[in-house]
Amino acid sequence: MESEHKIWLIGGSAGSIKACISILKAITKPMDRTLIMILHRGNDYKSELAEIFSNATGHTVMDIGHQTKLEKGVYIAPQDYHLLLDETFNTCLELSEKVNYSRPSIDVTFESFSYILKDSLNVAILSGSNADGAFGVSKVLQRGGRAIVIHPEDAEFKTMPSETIKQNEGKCSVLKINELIQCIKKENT
Amino acid sequence: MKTKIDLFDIEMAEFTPVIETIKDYYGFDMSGYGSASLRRRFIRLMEQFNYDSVFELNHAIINQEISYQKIVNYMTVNVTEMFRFPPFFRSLKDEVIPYLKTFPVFKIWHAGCSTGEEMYSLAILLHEAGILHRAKIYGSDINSEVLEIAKQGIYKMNNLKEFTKNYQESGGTEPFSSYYTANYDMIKMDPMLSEQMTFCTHNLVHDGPFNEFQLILCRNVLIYFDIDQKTKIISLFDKSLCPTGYVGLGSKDRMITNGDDLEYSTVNQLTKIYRKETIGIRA
Ligand SMILES: C[S@@+](CC[C@H](N)C(=O)[O-])C[C@H]1O[C@@H](n2cnc3c(N)ncnc32)[C@H](O)[C@@H]1O
Repeated sequence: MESEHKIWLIGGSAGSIKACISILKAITKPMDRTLIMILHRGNDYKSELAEIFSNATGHTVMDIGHQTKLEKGVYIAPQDYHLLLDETFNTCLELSEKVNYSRPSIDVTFESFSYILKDSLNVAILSGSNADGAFGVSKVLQRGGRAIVIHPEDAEFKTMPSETIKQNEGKCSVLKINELIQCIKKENT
Repeated sequence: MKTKIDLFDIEMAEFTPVIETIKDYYGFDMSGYGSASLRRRFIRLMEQFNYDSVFELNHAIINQEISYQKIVNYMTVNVTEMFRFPPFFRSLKDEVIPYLKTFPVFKIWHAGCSTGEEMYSLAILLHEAGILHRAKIYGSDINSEVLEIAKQGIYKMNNLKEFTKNYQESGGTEPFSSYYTANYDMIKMDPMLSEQMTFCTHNLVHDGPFNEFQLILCRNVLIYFDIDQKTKIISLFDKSLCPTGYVGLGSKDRMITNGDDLEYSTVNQLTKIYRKETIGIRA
């Protein structure tokens, strides 16, 4: 199935907020793609990441709602739900068990989006201290999508990128943060 | 390398016969659940029972190797917590409890109550308002296993810190520890809280209204249904609500009313609390 525009999913855990801010700062506004950040965060509903990102980057960053159509713009997966994509291209928030001790789980979102979007999906893995995302990346690649993993040297916490690279050997591009930014920008012109 | 088949490679359409079998055999129509969630739940069911193909799963259901309740219990998602989303409970306390106080006896329905944490949470606030003994509280769910846990009111201690914090943020006035006794790694809620509670299995998709309530809570349940199904369920609530009653939904849910038949005012946009307005009141 073809969607009108490419979609970027960016997954990360510990150490990813700073990286996301530099990515967003470098991208021209308004964003003419859909970019969704799937980040693990503390268990505090008050941690309004969307607001923090909006203030820091000048993009209007929105929490993704349930059954919403993805428009162009920058979104963040809300705390405590798994983010899925329905066959209608509407989002679906699911309140089920944690996966890899995480909710949202990067594996769950990458798998679900790639099932629907196939080769029009781009994903990136930033920094983190667990391996959530490695399986998701393998499904994205298997279904023809593109996966970029930040070079572990460039990540504040290396486990997530290293594990993802290890489990998808030779199949994902390993890039520096600046190169990832160039990639997203190129798509964004 | 594992040679086991990857359940994630199964196409959604392949599950259609299973959905039909469940509908034919048990009258439970799952086609109104969102496709992405349904696919994930089927994969989970197959993982749990070690089925490698949809054919095998379908066969097992036809031969009743898995019971209806087992299917339901694995297909539903039951994650919940005490005082989940504290602003919600704060608005119940500030905006709805004063209304409940005006009734000598009032009824509350927790539709999709799961393991009951939400019921105990509200019972605590009712107790602190001095009106718990006037309440009749009903908890219903399609999943029979979670109802057993709800009845017993016994929960894992792991989340206690978060529960306590949620309770305080909800405007609770006592030490949270006065509402449970701890034993090893479990807590048991004070039986005083559940004296007014009744539990029953009830399927929101095809069971009818069963009482008239002053307050209906249905949180984090509607998000699993498509618009048609959701509209039907909301109209079921409408039939089960007294003329000036309140409905509380989950923070990701949205109230939908079909046309002019249903009139609701928004009591609190953030916490998704709505109030039914009869034509008389509106005019
Ligand atoms: C995520 S829990 C919500 C628990 C609680 N209300 C809360 O917000 O924390 C959703 C519940 O809805 C129940 N459910 C799903 N489909 C249902 C149906 N058709 N009829 C009744 N309950 C259903 C599930 O079994 C599950 O226990």
